[in-house]
Formats: sequence, C-alpha cells, structure tokens
Amino acid sequence: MSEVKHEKETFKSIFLKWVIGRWSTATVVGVAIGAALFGVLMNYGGITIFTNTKLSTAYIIPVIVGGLFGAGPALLVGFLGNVFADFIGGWGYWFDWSIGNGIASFFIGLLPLYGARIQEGIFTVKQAVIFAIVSVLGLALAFGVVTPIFTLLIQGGELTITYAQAYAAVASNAAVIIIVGIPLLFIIASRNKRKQNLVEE
Amino acid sequence: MSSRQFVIQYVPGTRYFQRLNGQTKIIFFVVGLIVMMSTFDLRVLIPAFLFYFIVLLSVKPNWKQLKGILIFMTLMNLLNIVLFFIVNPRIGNDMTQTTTVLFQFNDFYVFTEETLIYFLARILKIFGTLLISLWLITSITPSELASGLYRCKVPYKICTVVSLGFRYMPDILREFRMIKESMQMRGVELNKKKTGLIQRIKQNGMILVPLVLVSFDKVETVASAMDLRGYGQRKKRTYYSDAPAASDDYLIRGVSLVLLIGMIGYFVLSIQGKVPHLWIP
Repeated sequence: MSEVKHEKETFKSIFLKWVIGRWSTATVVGVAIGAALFGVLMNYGGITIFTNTKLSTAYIIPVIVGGLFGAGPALLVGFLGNVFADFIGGWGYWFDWSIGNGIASFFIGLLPLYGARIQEGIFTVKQAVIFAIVSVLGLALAFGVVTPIFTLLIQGGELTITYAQAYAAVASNAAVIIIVGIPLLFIIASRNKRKQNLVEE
Repeated sequence: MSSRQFVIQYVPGTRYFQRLNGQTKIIFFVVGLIVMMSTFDLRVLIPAFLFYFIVLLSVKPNWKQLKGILIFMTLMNLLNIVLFFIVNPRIGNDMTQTTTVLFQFNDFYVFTEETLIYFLARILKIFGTLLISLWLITSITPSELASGLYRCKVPYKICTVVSLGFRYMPDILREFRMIKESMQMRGVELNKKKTGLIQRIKQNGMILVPLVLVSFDKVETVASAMDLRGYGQRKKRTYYSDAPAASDDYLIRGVSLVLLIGMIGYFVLSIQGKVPHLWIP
C-alpha cells in the first residue's frame, strides 16, 4: 500500500478509487469471499426476530469490504450476498430486498470517503461516529424508501408487512453494524497498523 | 445445516434440463421469474406452476436434501399469510373492488372469496419461484453460471465473483463448523435452548470475528494465485465450461421466448385494462 501514501489525493482520484472501486484481482476475490460469507451468515448466523428478517450478523461483511475496497464493491457484496443467501436458503428470490441491501451496503461502504483507511490502520473515533450516522441513514433510505418501491414494482402487493420488516431490518442491522462492526473495524485497523511498521513521533 | 449444505451442484447433471448450456439455463430461469413475479392471475399462475413443477421433477432432485427447505418455506409462508390476514383481511377486495363474503367472524375479520384467491395466487407465486430456483440450483454448476452470465454480457469480473463465491461457500461452512466446535470444546454453551438472547448474540460474535478474519486473510493468497495465472490481463475471457448451443438449447430458448412474448402481451392487455388485476372465476 506504500504507493498510496505518496499519491496526491484529489477528489476525483478518491472517488474513482473508493466509490467505484479499483477492481483489481484482490477486489474481485474480496467481493466474492465477502458475498459468500454474507450468504452463509444470512442463513446460519442469525437469530430470527420477525418473519423473513433476522438479527443477522451478515451486515458485518459490507462494513469490512467497504473499509478495505470501497463503496462500489460493498454495494456488489450486499446485492450478490443477498442473492446467494436466497439461492442457498431456497426461500425464493426477493430482489426488492437484494437491491435494498445493495444500497444500504453502498452507504456503509462509503467509509474511506471520509478518511478511514482500514488497510493502513487509520480509523479514529470521529470517523466511527460519522460511520454510525451514515450507516443508519443509508439503512433507513434503503429499507424505508428503496425496498418498498421495488416491492410495489416486483411483488405488486401489500406494503404493511414490508414496512414492518423494514423497521425490523433497519433496527437490527444498525445494531449489528454499531455493536459488532465498529469494534471489528478497530481490531482490523490495529492489526494492519502493526504491519505498517510506522512509528508516530 | 449439514443436510442443506450441498444443495449447490458442483458436478454437471445428466438429465435433459441439466444438459443445457449455461446461457440457456439463465435465460430459462429469468423468464420463469418474470412469469411468476409479474402477475396475480390464476389462469397464468396455475399452468406455469405445473410446467415448472414438471421441469423440476424431470431433473429428479434429491428430495431428502430439499425436504428441510420445503418444510421451512411452507411454515414461513403460512405464517406470512396469517400475518397478512391479521393486518388486512380485505386485501383481495382492495384489488378487485368487489366483495363476496364467504364467512364472517366480526365486522373487521371477514373471509372473502377475493382474499382467498389472492392468498392462493400469492402461495402459487412464491412456490413457483421456489420451484424455478430449486431447478436452477440442482442443475447449474458455478462455472456454468459464470460462463452463462458472461454470454449474457455481464462483465467477467462479476462472473468471477459469482462463481468464486459459490465455490467458496462450502469452505466457509466448514470453517464455521470448525470454529463452533472448538468453541464448544472450550466450554462455550451453544445450545439454543440453554442460553438467552443476549448470550446468543455474544456467542455469534465470538464465532463471527475469527471466521471473518480468517476468510479475509485468504483474499491475498487467492488473488496472488490468480494474478500469477494472468487473471485480469485481457478485456475478454473464455470459459472452459462454455459449451456451444445445441439444438436442445435452441428449443428451450424458443420456449422461453414464446413465454416472454406471451407475458408481454398479457402485460399490454392489463395496462389497457382488458384483464383484471386479480381474476375471479
């Protein structure tokens, strides 16, 4: 990662690198493994709290992928991860929720845009606070607005249940992101910092 | 968990609907989803449901593997339907603007013919999509999926993500079980009946952190291996499992096309208001 340090970071380079993602081989593999983890955790790593909604630990994955690779890869992890979960779970396809998960993951993955560099071990308390706020807003937008629109388009039906599920999803995913995600980001950042061999003086 | 683990196929099957090439399978699957998702009309849903049921039967799936999914699905959907009924018992009537009361509990909870048909249509829709997806799971391998997606003009890096993700899933499940067993060996109580909610959340975290760290540590190894083999050097890519389309493929693509045109025709009619939103016999 040493070349990153010397490169001058303009807004455009940050946007290209972190919002769209670099799509190197490492990104491809990271997204693939992330999506697989997302699918597995959504099926087996959760505690059911409402119909079709779980207090799922899967939401850790877009946090990490966003921190390591940026928002675009995180979006793909959320979307494909949910499709994978539907694929192995066999409860039918809920593309409205997959799209919502993608959008929510995108906002979660905006992490590097406001200065956090997990791979270089940079993650401060202030960034954690911004991260929590952006994530909750993103989740609310994704599940409160985007998913109901697509539910109306795809399933053509009843929104009461979708809204109830959406509230449950926002609350439980936000809880997972804040309670498990932020400490995990600090763990990974400090692990990576040790590898950097840089001492602040 | 162990019985559901190997639903994904890694070896190509030999039945008619398994011998098609990847692109044909994806086309057939997507058209099936469109048919099932876009209507509440029983005249469309019942034949489509039977058709996809026959398709699934023809690949002779291993019912023992699928039993868990089917039971889970049935329970989940019955619960959903009950919830729907509790929230709005007149949901069918809202779609047709007519009311045929069959049975009345009190002023709010009435049981109408329209709602009954709406629920029937909903169950058929959900189980129809389930049949199609079970067919896809039991007949497509990750490589075929990737090559099929690539043929459908999806960028190949996304195809790689899809196939790599599917191939990596058994590894994750194995890792998950290993971590869980080593936790139990150290005396962590993971029995669902013996622990409370907060405790279970904590334990999930205890399994999660090592699982995530171990998995993401592998990214670099796998990526280096792929780079060494020249991955991502060219704009295009060829696939080993990419079979040329045979006459069977053209037949199934033709069937899909006919279905799609039929659905578009139906859609046009319903926009013009010639077919009702919910069909009542």
